[in-house]
Amino acid sequence: MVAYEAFDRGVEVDGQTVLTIVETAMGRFSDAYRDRAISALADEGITDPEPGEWYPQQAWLHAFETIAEELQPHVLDRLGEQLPHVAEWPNGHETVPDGLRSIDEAYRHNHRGGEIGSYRFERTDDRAGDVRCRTPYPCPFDRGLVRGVAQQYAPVDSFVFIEETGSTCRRDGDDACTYTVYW
Amino acid sequence: MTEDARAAARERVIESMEQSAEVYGLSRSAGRIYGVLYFAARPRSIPELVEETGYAKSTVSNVTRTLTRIGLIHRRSSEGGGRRVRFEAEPEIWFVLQDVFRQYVQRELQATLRDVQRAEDRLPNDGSRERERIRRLTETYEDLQEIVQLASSYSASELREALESYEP
Repeated sequence: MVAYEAFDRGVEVDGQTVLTIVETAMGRFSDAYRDRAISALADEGITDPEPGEWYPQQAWLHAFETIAEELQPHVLDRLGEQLPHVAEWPNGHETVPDGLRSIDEAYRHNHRGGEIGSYRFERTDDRAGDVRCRTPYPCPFDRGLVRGVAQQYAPVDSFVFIEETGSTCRRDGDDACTYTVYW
Repeated sequence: MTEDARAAARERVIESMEQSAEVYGLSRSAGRIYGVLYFAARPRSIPELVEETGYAKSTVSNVTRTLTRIGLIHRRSSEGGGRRVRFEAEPEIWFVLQDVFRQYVQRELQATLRDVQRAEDRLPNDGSRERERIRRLTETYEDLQEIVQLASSYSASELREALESYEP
């Protein structure tokens, strides 16, 4: 498996997630980026995505890939980083480990219909832990997401630092990336 | 090596520079723009940096101003005498650090040391807690000043050589 290829053709993504990334997160960069994303979605047959509706993840991934190819690579990172701020996020989490564990919860809430992959957090030290992202989304997007979530729950006196430490990376055609998070 | 592999390697280093920039109180965009210029074969203009980073022109203008002030990048006049300003990265990070030491750290240390010494001079030599704390701070700042002076005067290899030849 590689980035942008769904693990299972039956997987669907919630319209709210599509809307949040395209309308809100993309719109924070520029109207041109948002319009390009809407056009890429339309090319995949997704027009006017609606919350509560479900869309094929593969179509969404194709659109995502088109968007990524046309934008600078760091935009993917920023999109991921913004996600916890603009998307509906599971409540009741107060610490960085809890927040990082909640990524998988949010992912399961927004995807359905087969093998979707996972986000696994393992604490390795008092203020450090590993997140293994095994999803068809691109590496920089997930890295930004992990950083954004960690920053949201980190104590005000800490600095969140992310290092990609796994032996595999989706940029090299693998199906998972591991990030060590320090906070 | 393919262009794809070289681009991927550049991107990973630039991502690391983004994070480093944030650690030192700069923006991630500052790390990216420095990184783009670090790998560029020739100086880049602001429109070229806008094109290569996707940032707004105002962001690129602000960041290039900040990076120029720190000494991480330099302004270069255009080839052929054109009016458009171009920027290139200072590739020797040690020189940049030395410049930061000289311009900012030494100045801060000297100013703080003078303030602390003035405060100490105004206190009677009565062994008070304040006097003891201020004395300790003075000694720390004097040590720091000496270390920063050495770091900004010698190259990394000269310092390494001096440390390696030291036998306690």
